[in-house]
Amino acid sequence: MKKKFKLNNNFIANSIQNKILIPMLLLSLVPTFIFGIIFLNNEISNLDSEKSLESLYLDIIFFSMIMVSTIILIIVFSHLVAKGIQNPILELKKAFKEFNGGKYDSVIKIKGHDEVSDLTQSFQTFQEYFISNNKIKDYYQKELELKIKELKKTDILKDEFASMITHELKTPLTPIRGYCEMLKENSLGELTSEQLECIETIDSNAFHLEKLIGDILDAQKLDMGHIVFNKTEIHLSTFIHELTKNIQPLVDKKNIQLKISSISDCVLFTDEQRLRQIFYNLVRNAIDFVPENSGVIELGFKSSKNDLIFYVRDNGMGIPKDKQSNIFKKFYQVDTAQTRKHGGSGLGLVICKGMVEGLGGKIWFDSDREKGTTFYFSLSKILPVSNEVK
Amino acid sequence: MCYILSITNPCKSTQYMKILVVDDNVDITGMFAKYLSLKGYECVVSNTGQNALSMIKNQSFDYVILDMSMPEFGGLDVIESLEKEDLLKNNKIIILTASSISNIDIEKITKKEGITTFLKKPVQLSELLQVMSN
Repeated sequence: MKKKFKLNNNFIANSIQNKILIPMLLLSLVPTFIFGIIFLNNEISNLDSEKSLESLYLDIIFFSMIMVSTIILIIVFSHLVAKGIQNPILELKKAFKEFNGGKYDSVIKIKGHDEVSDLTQSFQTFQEYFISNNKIKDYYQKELELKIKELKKTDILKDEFASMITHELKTPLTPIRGYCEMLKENSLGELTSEQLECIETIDSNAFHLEKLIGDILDAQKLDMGHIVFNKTEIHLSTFIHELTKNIQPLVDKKNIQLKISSISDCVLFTDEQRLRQIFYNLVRNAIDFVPENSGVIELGFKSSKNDLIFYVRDNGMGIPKDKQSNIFKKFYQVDTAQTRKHGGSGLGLVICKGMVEGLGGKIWFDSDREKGTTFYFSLSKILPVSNEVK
Repeated sequence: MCYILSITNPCKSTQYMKILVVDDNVDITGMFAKYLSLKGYECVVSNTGQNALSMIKNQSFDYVILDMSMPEFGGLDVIESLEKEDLLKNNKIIILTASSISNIDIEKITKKEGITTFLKKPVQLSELLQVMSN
């Protein structure tokens, strides 16, 4: 914070002058005056014909002149002394003022060895220290600016790279998955069950790769705030019906049970594709955690005043307490034999969180070692006011 | 012969449809050509946007499967060139994309007359057949 020093230029001079002037005047004028009175008194008592009245007047004039000239001399002397003390202080004050104004290298000549010159010396040391510190600060500031520029460039490169990589990885997947599809439906001739099994493995792995690429791209878009939500009115019952059709094959593969809790139909204003993606990711996540054959995954809904709370519950192994705070972090995976077996990008929940928040909701979870895990997310039930109503 | 039938037959069966597949990747066009010919379509391929544009201008196709990102002259350039000459609306173009263009842009393009829909790579062949049979 800048402090302003208000100093009257004449204040020091006047106070010094007064402090010198008054005692000097008293010291010099009082004895002169007393001596003059005694002298004149003596002269008057010895007044005779030899000494005329005129000479007495001359004496009075002489003494008066001495007194006046002493006063003048004292005033001049005290003024000079005051100026001598005041000038270095004023110079220092000027330097401080310049320093405050941003001129850090003003030079002050040091005269003598008094307190003021000591103060000036200290000020100059401070100036030098400040200038060298400033140089260091400027250097680091420039370095920082350079680093920021470099980081921005890297960030752009990262985006371009992610976009390029997505394209380059998805392109070879097209003929791989295309030929797999042809082979699986026997378009290129009848396959033996063993051959079909091999093709299934190729295709499911290619699908897994496709999902990973999609996840990386989505996570990157969420990071950049590039995801645009295309909200429309959707009927919940229709949506759930379609969703179940998509999820059922995944559940059947592991021979686990999918339960859908009953819900009265309601209309939501949200991005259908993204909502499906959230459910899909949560269910896939649950599938990885539930035991084969005895696993149960339940999709359900609770309605509050303004929100609809969705949940995906599993009877899996639960998330260990020490890992719970990390599960919404990028590339984090709860490292268990089961999750390792299924792989995954470690981005599913990150994407879910980003999507839910992007749709204006919240996501949270409950996890228990014995009961399993339940993921909840809320979405607003409020529909936008239509133009007609407006 | 098939081609002539496809023009003269008012109740077009999928077997006589002529499809142009445009992608710079030879494996992709090869795969589509194989699949579509197995399904009874007549399939013509092009590996550059420029070549595809002149083919679309000079021939008639029931569907054009067009990749968006190709070097030099991409799918978007083909669409814009057709639009300039007011030829876009005479076509049925199915756009192929590998997410190098944002969804919103793709949806904008898809709304244009002459663009049937867009499919994301890797394309499910059954989905493609479903689009063309509608």
